Amino acid sequence: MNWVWFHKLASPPSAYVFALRLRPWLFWISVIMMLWAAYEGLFVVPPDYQQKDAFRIAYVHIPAASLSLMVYSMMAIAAAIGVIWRMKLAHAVAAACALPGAILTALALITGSIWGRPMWGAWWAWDARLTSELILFFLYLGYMTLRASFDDIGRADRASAILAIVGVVNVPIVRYSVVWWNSLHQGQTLSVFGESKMDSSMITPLLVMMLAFLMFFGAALCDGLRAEILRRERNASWLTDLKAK
Amino acid sequence: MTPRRRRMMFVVLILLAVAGATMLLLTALKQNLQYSVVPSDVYTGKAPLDRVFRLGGMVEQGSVKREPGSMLVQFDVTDYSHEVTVQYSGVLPDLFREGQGVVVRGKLQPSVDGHQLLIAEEVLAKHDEKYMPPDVAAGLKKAHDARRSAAEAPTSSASPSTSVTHH
Amino acid sequence: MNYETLKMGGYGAYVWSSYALTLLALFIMAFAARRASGKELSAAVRRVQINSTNNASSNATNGGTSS
Repeated sequence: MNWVWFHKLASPPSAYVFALRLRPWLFWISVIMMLWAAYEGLFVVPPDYQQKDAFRIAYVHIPAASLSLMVYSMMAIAAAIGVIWRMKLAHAVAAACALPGAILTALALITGSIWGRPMWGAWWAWDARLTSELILFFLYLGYMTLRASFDDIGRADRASAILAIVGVVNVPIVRYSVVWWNSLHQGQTLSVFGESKMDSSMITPLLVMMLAFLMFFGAALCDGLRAEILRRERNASWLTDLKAK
Repeated sequence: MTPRRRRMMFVVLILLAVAGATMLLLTALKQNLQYSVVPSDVYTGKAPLDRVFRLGGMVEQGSVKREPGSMLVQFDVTDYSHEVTVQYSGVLPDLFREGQGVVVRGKLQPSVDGHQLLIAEEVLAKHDEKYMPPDVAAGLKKAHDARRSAAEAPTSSASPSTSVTHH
Repeated sequence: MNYETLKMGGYGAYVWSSYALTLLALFIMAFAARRASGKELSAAVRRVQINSTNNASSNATNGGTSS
């Protein structure tokens, strides 16, 4: 196996340039996909047999919620790689994941609340799914607060990495909370291996929206990662070269 | 290689320790983490008699009775093996209807002839994870009813609980 | 698009506020990352400029180290 490409990409200058070039593609393609999926989800897809038009909130709620978990897993894996292999770039990725992840989690909680009010009859319930997603939000906040409390970036990386790794235990709890406990929240609609429980006439915009959210997050990650790389490469000579270009 | 190995072990051990502790905690708190209990729990004494709790189940078909001229409504909540009658006064959520999942919060009244009555303070509607257009749902229901009547034709004494798929 | 479509069968307030908040959240996500990278970049450019003027005056070699 040839790892040259990996080591090349994993060097801060290459990652910086890669993120810079990748971002506009991710951003604009995701914007186009989102516009299409939102239009379909709002106006084209038929209303649900039970929830009528209120179910259209699913097209923003499900992508935000599922991505909030995915981003946390990514943050924890990046943090673990950073700790084990002492890889600065991995720490930078983890650091750049936190704010987008927190925003996605807040969005999932808020849209879920707006959906729950007309359907369940309550803005909030202390059931296992909602509570564990709220804990996810606090984990993101805790991670960012912990980072901010260190002046030295290397120490901030290592300390916050431990929190990110510990908190990953919450991810399967959020995911399986609706299976393990009686909750008010319904079960999982989408399934990777089994059959999804959404009619085929409704599912395409949802899948497109999820992919669009992922790419949009990728675009934000590119920008955030560049900021984190610059913060870690204060006196690097490659910055001079980059400036000269 | 040794320091890297050590760091790897460190990460794995932390994960194992936290996962183990969380699992123990969740197992210990299993009952408290249930958002609601089912009607069968009420009859086996697992539901508290002296305080407010949440009861989850399906609204029994044909059990909803409204008091004319008031907000009072009465219905049975079932888990297809036991029923608890619920009385509630207030606005019901949009999704509330017969055959729909509900979670009611309230207090049990002293049972009369083994029949359980719960006075609810709050009624929340549950919905499932399935989404489909109305015509697809109507088609599914028709097919389901056809299958059901075909299956019940030979043995008319079939219990209704066997033909309902419920988890 | 007529008024009835926008009303969403009475759920318009819930549906539209969800989508509006999603738009806001995505905007904040993109904007925050963009601003962070912009700020770090201008700080880095300033440092590089200071370094290069220092280097020019002291005739020293590039003092930066890459790790």
